[in-house]
Amino acid sequence: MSIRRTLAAIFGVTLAAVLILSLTFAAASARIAHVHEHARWSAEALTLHLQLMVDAGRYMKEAHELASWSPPLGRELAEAGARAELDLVALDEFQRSILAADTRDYGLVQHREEIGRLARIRAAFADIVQRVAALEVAHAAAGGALDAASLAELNRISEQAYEKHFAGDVAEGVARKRFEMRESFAEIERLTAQTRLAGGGATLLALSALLLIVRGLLRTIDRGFGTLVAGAEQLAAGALESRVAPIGVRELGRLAAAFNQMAASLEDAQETRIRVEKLAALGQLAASVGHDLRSPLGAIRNAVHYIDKRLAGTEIGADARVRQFLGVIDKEISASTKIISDLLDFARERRPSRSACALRPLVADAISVVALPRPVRIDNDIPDALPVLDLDRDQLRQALVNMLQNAVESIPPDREGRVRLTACMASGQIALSIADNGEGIPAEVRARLFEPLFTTKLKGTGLGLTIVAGVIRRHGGVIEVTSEPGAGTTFTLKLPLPTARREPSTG
Amino acid sequence: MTERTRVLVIDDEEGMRVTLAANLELEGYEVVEAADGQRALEIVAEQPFSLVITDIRMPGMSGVEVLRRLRRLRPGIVVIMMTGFALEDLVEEGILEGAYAVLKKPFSMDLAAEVVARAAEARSVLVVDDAQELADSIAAALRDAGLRAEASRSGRDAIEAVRARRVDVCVLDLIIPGQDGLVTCQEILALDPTVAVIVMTGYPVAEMITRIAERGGYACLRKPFETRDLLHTIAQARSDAGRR
Repeated sequence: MSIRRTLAAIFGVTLAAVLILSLTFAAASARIAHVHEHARWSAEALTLHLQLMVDAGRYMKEAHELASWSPPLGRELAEAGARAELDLVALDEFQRSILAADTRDYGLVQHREEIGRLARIRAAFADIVQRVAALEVAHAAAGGALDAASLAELNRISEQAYEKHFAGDVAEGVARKRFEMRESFAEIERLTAQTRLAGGGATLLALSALLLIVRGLLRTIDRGFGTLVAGAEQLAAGALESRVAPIGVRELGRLAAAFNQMAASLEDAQETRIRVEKLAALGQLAASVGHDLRSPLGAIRNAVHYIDKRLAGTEIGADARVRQFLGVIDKEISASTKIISDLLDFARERRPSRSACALRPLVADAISVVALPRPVRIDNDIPDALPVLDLDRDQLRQALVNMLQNAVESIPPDREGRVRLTACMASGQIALSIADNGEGIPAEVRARLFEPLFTTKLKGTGLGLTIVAGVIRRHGGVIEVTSEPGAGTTFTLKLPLPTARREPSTG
Repeated sequence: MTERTRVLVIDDEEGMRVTLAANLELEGYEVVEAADGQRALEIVAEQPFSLVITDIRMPGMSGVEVLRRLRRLRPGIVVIMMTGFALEDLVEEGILEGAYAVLKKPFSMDLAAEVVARAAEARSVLVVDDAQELADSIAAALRDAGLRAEASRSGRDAIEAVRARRVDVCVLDLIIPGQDGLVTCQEILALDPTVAVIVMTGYPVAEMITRIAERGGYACLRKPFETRDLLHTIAQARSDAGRR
């Protein structure tokens, strides 16, 4: 599980919660709007029913007045008839709207009841209107007079209609509408409560989920950091070999890997430092021992020289063994001197004492010093025309001799040995190459080639190439090796050209 | 045998001191030994010496200090130094103070004998440059350091000086009137192969340097150089007894 993924999950959950809440509220508000519409309609119906009640009451009064007035006035009769017509129209209108209403929300039974009720009320109205109209006709025919029986009949029928239909049906309609409105308001309240509950629940659920995820994330991060901090403390305490355990979280896992890598390189650096310190100490010791040995060696050398001279021409001096042993002493002193010189060269880095040197004679000089175990062809193919370098001749000769000696010794006895020295100008430097057709150097040896005290020879101080590297470094150059195991090795020394100096005014 | 050259050997280490002294006696010198600088100064104050061989590192007075005091006592005295270290600050100081040569222990007695023989002759350094004032100034700087040095402006003079065995080191400008440096170098070495020819040039040309090296020239200095570089090269040439 990665931190990035966890954060994405948190975002996802939040988004989902917001979406669910929005949808819930949208659905609830649509439903509420619908119920609200229904309630409004119910209120209208209620108003109409009340109007009907008022109208019915008016008819009752008018009928009563018509019945009791004597003589009745044709004009009033006509007006009553016109008003009754208008009421009838309004009633029809209402009936149409009832018929048009959606039976789904309203309930089929209730719908039918309503329609039936209205039909009955209408019939009663229609009957009254008809009678009034008949009365008008009769009134006109009678020349303004009406018989009391017809009026009493109208009065009776009106009362009957009122009691039978208006009082009952209209009251029932009003009660029905009141009930429906109450229902609608209750529905709205219920919906509101439901919405509130759904919203609250969704919010709570989302919060819980987020809490769980975040807690998990924080715990993982905490554990990861705990591991890393513990690792760092161990490192700080000096336990450079300690590593942190793998951490599951991707980002922290990468951090842990980087941490382990850092610890590894720290360990390497520490090892290198210790090795360098050891070498430095060894170098100091070597310098001190070497120095202390030089005088005694010198004294021995002088003493042997003296004895050799004094024995010359005597019988003992002519003895083969004596001659041989004097030679052995001289040879061994030279070998010891060489070892001590190498140690001192390694321990004390001499500042180059430079003079202008042409490469070709310098190389020739070095070749003349190399000890050849058997014939090996060494070609000095260095061109004459190269720029003159400022070099410490002795140091560079020593470096070349060390390298030539290695080259010669790398050639197997059954092979016709050949070492070739070439040089050329390359990007402001002189590249001097020493190529042999020897055994070559395996890659693992090549990596440690310039390491002090590293040697593959049975007899060797392991300082030869270290000294070479030191000489080249002090001359501002670099040394490169390419090797093909079995086929040969090429060392290339890259030496910088002398920096431009102020031209002298004379000479 | 007429007057033998008197040599004073100073070394606190007995083995080296007595063996060196014995070998020098075999070579025909009259040798006196001293175990420290103080004793050496006392001896030199009483007896004449033309040559002193001293170790550099000694308890009490160092070889360089001995050199300084000897110079005050006997200005023309020639001093050879011996050291166990290839190069150290004291050696550097000794060379700048005009030590004739530095022998690195353990040295071969043959080489030491040759260096001592040449030192005993006390020949000079000859500076040859067509610019007289430059030659003079270089020679003066060498004399200031305690060396014997003379200046000349032609190759002819140089060859004469070599013929007369007056010089063992020749500091030669490559471009000099009369004949060029290469020919002069060649003639000098033909006359006396042990003379160290140090060439100086502002424009080192590879072929020229190579030819000088092939003909036995000792070293080449790129102009302008510092006096200490020249002193180093001269001391090294004399320590090698002129052998490359």
